[in-house]
Amino acid sequence: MKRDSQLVLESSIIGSLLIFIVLGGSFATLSVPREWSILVNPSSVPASQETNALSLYYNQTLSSLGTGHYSNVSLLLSTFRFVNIPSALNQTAETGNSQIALMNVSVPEAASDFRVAARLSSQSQFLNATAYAADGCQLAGQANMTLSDFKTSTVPELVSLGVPSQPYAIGLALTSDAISSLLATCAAFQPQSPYPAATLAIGSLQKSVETGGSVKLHGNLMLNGKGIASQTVFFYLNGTLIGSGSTNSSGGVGGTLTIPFVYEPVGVVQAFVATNQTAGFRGTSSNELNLLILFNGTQIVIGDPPAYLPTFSFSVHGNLTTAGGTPLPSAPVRVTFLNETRDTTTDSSGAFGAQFTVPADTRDGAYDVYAAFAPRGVYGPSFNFTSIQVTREPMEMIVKVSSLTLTGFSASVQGRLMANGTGVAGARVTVSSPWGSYQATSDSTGQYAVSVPTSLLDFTFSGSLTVSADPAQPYIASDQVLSNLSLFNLLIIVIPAIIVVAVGYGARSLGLLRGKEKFEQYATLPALKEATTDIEPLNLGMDAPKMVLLYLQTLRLAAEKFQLSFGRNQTLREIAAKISTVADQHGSAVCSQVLGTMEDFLYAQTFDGARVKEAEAHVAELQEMWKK
Amino acid sequence: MKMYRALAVRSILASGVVAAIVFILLVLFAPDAVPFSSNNYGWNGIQQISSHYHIAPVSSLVGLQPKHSVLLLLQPTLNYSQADASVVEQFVRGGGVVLVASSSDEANGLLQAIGTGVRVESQYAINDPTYNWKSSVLPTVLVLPGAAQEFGFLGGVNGIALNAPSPLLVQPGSPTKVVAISSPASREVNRSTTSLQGLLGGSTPVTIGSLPTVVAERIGNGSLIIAGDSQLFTNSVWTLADNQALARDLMANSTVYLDTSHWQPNTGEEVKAMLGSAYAVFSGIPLRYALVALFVGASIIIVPSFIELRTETKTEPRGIVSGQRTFNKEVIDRVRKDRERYGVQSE
Repeated sequence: MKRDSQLVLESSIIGSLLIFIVLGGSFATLSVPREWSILVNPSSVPASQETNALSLYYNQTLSSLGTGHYSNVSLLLSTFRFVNIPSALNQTAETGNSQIALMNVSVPEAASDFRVAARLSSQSQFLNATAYAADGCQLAGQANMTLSDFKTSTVPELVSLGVPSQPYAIGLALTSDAISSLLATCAAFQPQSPYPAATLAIGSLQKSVETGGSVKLHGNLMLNGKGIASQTVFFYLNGTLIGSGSTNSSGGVGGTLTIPFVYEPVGVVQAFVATNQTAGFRGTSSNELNLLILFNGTQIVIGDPPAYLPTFSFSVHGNLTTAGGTPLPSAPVRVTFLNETRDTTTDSSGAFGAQFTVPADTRDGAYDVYAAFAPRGVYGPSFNFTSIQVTREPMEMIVKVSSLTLTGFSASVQGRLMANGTGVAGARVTVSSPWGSYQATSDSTGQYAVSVPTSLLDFTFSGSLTVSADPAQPYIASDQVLSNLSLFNLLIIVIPAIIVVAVGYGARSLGLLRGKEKFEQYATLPALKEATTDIEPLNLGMDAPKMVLLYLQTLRLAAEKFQLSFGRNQTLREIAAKISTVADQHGSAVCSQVLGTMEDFLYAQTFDGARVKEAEAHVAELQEMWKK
Repeated sequence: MKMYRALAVRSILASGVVAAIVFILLVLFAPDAVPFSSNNYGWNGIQQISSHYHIAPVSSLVGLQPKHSVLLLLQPTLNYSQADASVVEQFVRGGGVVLVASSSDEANGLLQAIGTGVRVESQYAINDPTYNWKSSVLPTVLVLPGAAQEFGFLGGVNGIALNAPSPLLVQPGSPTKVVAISSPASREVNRSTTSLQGLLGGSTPVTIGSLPTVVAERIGNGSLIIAGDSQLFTNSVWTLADNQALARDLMANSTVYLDTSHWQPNTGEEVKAMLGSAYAVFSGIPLRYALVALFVGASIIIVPSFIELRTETKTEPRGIVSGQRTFNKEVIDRVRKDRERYGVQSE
């Protein structure tokens, strides 16, 4: 009964705690505050892919384009993947997006060209103004063509897929207006004069020219099929005036002109003649003559710098000349070292220079420094390189790890950093462990100590530590050392011990260990063997109580005398009754005395040890009485 | 009777130990349904992101190390005190990153105390029929070009999936910068009904156009991020749009703290945070030794003294004390009947 109470008590405590946890969690879940109750469960929201979404999207992009918010258009185009539309629309939508993207390039560029053209025109730079205006007109035309494609191809296709066009009608109208405005601007740049335009044509037998070299040009100025004499024709190369000439009686003009040192792949030669009211013609520009600029004859020489340590700066110098040794002035030269690039230009003597700093994280080794003649920003036909040697001082790491660490406690990692015979101060020492990374800084003598906390939940017997040191001085090489840490978790002992104790305690509480207690074994002795005629098999051992031995001796005497057997569940009283049916009155009484004493020994609240002596005498009497 | 009391004490102690172990295991690992819980596998939990990045719940904002750390303040339900605001500001100035993600009013006190000039317009929700990941009430907001250049954690992030976010009101002169907006077609609807239908468009839009949804500010050596929605990292949302990239940029190689001290009490995360704090306290020497000693002492108390019991059974002539032994009940009953029937011989 008491054992039952104990089990009930234990179960109640554990059960109550679990109920409280569950109830507590339920309360926390049920009593949701307003701040959490406004949160929407996405599962409860019906999915919807609206075709209208694409219409709204186009309205946004086209409106932004039409109102000049080009960066917004780029943002919207780049984030189109987030627009929630049916997959059936994707292909057509992508086509529409491409068209909008094209317009988003051509429209702002055309507008920009027209602005520049207007400014140049106001500065009387007619040739360049004309070029910009022509470029703007071309871009405006492209934009108009793309818009036309969008209207005539993409829009009907979208309508057939169920995408309404009305929602983006406003955006489309804004874009149309913007492009129409560009086309109008283009028309405004067309020359208007009461005089007829002269015709100016130029040509050359040369297809190429070396930079800084000469080109032989010829041209003809005509009006209504007749040459115009004594007119000054100006020649430009890439917008720079390179010379002029006067037309002869037949309108012809020509000469050998020296081009400047240009460093672009193509030189565009164009001639221009101004309006001459006296002669009765409107000024005009000639056709464009494209000449390939040659850099074949260039060479670059670069000096060799010595070895350097990281963070140290060094200079590179060189010269750029033609093959014949003529310096190339103001020429672009690109010098590259690791990931750094310096764009410089040569001086009047063709010399150039650049300064670099060796990055702090550069490892030991040889590193090339490239110098290239770089017309128009690309690597040119001439390049050369040299190399510098980067060297760091090696660092010696001394690492000492505690021999055995109990998990849950901290392991000690300490040591010293040395370079060139002296301690390395201020170095950052990082210990990477399975439980995290920990850092320390070395002191002035290079000593360091790092405490690495280990996890109490780690049951391994060893751990790997990586100790790395990064010196504050970039010219000292970093280093790292691998080390093993011996571990032992006390929980390996404690937890099984708790389990064993708990299981033992529980088993004992439940009575599972009761059979090992000899006294209780004796209480059920009649059940141990069907016939207790032989004491030996019971194997009671030497420490069996005397009273038990006397009892068993009595049973054996009765069994042998009367050929009795005793059942498994017979009580002492029943045994006594059974013997009384076959024994005489005295023998039965003596036998009952022994069994009664045994009963008291087993079950009475108190038992007088002197009664064992009496039972011993009774057994002796029975032996005498029932001996064969 | 004395023996029984000793048994009862041991029983209670053993039960207490078992109960404590079960309690801790349940708190740490048992699934729950509390919003923003790392054990919540449902739509509003953060179990998935917690399995990718270690997120440590904290029950106090004091003492957090700001270097390489991120502090998440998700949908607070309690107001922040001036002292809390100072601690948060110091955390940011010290180099930490603080993400205030909330669609409710409780964060406004903190934002005001720090001087951000930003307010969460909790009475409104953003509804976007164009940029959304399932329905208009679940918008995807767009990260502005160039924002990543100033705020590195936005690298590779073009869109952020949200769940019925509140717009942010950025006051003129505010030092914060808008880094993400809703699309020009988005609508600001009244949240007063809090009904799904209302959010889905049943209520009349207050305004139409792009609205700030995420702003950021560099303060000292750290950054403060303010989002009008707390669910960008919950299980149902964090894999959408570029939210994973944002989580990676923020949390990889960082210590991530989750504030539980401004939620309603007794959430699982709060208990977990307290367990974490207790562990941190008891991990220190000499408390660690004291705890081990206490543990050993408790074990000694609850271990049943078998030796004592054996000694008692060997005193043969002694009387059999009631309650000391348990016998075969069937035999006892038979004996009792016999003694009642035939009388008692020697008592």
